[in-house]
Parts: sequence; C-alpha cells; structure tokens
Amino acid sequence: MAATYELLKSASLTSSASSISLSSIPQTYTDLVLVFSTAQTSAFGQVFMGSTSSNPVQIGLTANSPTSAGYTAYSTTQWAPFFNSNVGDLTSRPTQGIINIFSYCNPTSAKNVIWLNQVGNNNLRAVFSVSENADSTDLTSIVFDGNGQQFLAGTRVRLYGILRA
Amino acid sequence: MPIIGIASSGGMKPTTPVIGTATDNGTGTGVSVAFTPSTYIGKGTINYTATSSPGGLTGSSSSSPITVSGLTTGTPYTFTVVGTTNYGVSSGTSAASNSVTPITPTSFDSIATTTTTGVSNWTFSSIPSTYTHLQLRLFMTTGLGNVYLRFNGSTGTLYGYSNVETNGTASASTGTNSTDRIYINGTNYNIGNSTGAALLVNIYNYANTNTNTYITNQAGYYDGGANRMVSFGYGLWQSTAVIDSLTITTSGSTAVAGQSLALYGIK
Repeated sequence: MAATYELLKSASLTSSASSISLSSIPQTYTDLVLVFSTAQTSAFGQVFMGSTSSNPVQIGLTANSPTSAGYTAYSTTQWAPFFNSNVGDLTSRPTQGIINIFSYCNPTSAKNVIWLNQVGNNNLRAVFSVSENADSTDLTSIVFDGNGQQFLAGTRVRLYGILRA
Repeated sequence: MPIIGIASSGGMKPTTPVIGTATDNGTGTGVSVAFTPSTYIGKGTINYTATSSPGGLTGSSSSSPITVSGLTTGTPYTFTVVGTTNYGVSSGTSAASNSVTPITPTSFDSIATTTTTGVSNWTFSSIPSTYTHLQLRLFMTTGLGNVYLRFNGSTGTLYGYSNVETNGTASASTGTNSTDRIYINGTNYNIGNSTGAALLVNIYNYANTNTNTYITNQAGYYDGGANRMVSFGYGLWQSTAVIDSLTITTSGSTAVAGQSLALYGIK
C-alpha cells in the first residue's frame, strides 16, 4: 500500500503579515488537505486557490452560538469570506479549519473544495461549506489573504498531499 | 559413515518447509514471513528460521509466521526458511519468498481506489482490519442523485443517519433510524453534475467488536449556476461486526471517466 498524507508546505508567522502564500505546490498527489489556525486584527479573511480572478463559488451551513442555533445558507462569489471574523487573540480564540481540495491537478475538471472550520469571534460559529473553482487549470498556489487586515504572529498554515493507490 | 538423509543421532531429516508470502509488518524495519511447516519432523521438536537476503538477518519461531527484524527501511528483501530439530537435524532450505520492501510506517495509508465506469455501485472488499478508522474520498463528475453506504453487504434495517443540507437558497434536514442504508448526502437536494462533486466520509472504529460503527460525512457540489448543494451528516450501523467490505451506491447516473473512489486507512 502506498504511503500518503505527506506534509508539503508549512508556514508559521513570527510577526504580522497581510497574506500567506503557499506556492510551487507539487502536482504529484491526488488531493490536498489544508489545515490552518489563524488570527486577524479584524474583518474577514479570504483564501484564494490559483487565480484570484477565476470567480469561484461557495455555499455553506453555519451553526451560530449563542445568538442563534441551527444552520444558514450562503451564496457568494469569493473563496472563503467567513473563514475568519473579528478574531480577538490567537491564544483563546483562533480560527481553525480543515479544507479538502479534490483532484487539484486534474486538468479536465473544475476544482471541488469542501471545508469545515470554526470561527472564533465573539460568538462561536461552526461553518461547513463547499466551493468550486470552474477554472480547470492545475492548482499550483494558495494564498491566505487578510482582506486588508493583518494575520497575527502565531498564525499557522500547513498543506498536506494525499495520494491514492 | 552416516547414511544420506539420516542424521547420525537425531533421526531422519525433516521435510523442507514451503515458503509462503513475506509481508511488510508496518514497523518500517520488520517483515513477517509465512510458510507451511514440515510435513515430517522426525525425532524431537522443531524450530524454524527465516533468513533475509541480502543481510543474512534471521528470525525464528516454532510456527508460521516468522518475524524478521532489524531490516533496512527501503531495501527489498527475499527470505528462505529452514527447520531444525532440537537434535540439531535441519531440513532442506525452502525456495526464496517474494520480494518485500519495509517502508516507513505512516498513519494514513491508501488501501484501494476504483475508477470503474458504467456502474452505479462500487464495493471495496477485503478491507484490512489493522487500522483504527477508515476514510472514503470520492470525486464524482456525474449527476449522482443520492448516495448511500452499506457495510459487509448487509441490507438489514440496522442503519441510521441524519443530514443537514442547503442548496444555497433554502435548507433542510433529513434522517431516520432502523433503515437499510446510510445516506452520505442529504436527500432533499440531488448532488453532482459534470463539473464535479466531492464527498468525504470518515468511518470510526470499524474493526472494534465492542462498539457499533459510526460515520460522519461531508458532501457538496456547485457548478457556478443554479446547481449546488452542501450537506453534513452523521450515520450509524448498529452492528459490532468488523467491517471488511463496504458498498457505495448512487441513485443517479452511472460513473463516467475522470472520477474516482478512494479508500484510506488511519492508524
């Protein structure tokens, strides 16, 4: 059986930064898994996979506590407008999540992404969503973008490659 | 002068053991060597020794299999087996085994992948019981309708599931108990079209005979237009049987080229 789940890229911030880039992603795996723990000074962050102009789409389910319970539907044209939201500090309320990117180097298909994350703002929020980037170009880079704000020191992003038999 | 085939004080030679399959034992430096014991031992008791090539490293046991340790990770080895009685009478040497290469152990292994097209159900069988959890990763490029799981071929009403889902403009939840399948997407909104759909299923403690089997599932697709859905759910199989096969079935179109269903083991 083939070994899989290899650590491909890792970034840990020692000082604030407006974005985090993972580039030169190897094209030798089947899927990618992105694990992140981030904090920002304010506002939402975004994740761009490949081109920032490729117009991906996304819908999601949200559990929002304590102000509401249950789920909510989203429709958007950005990759991850709700992966981060007014996070106060990295120690007590980081935003953490896992993003699964399927068939990222299959030139004949769109890029399908499903992710699960928690938003550590004043409320506790769990988000599950699916995205698709209609651009079939092989995915070679991923950018965490602070959307005009800064990611704080201690923010960590790790990218893994999954190889099927 | 000893007679050929007869030891001077220990009786006749044991018959030669028959080599079986050598397999990586998952430690990164060890191999398990299976063999069929001597059909005739002669006088006394017998112990078997497996010897590696290259290296001449050995392991011994009175029965199959024999573990040989201290091997070099990444190096291919073959093995032979010899039986020796407590009187010091040795059998002939078996034929060499298949070649096996110890690899660095990991906690996430690819077990099998199927890309079979033209069907609407797929079965993974002979699933090893050596992992803690299983993960299914499905990338599908056709209209799937709804997708469900069954274990060990069982169609009994021992399954249950609960899913929450949205199509971007509305939301719903579905679920039931004592049914004959686990839906791994919500059943209110069909999933998938030619632009692709992703499904991820975690199957927990599948080889633990003290507990039922539980799963969590995530699924979704979005083609940039009106076709979209995302679901998150939980499932249960009320059986303590070890899962050695699972079947994925769709109610929609049959599989087409470009999609795959991959099964992984997590330690």
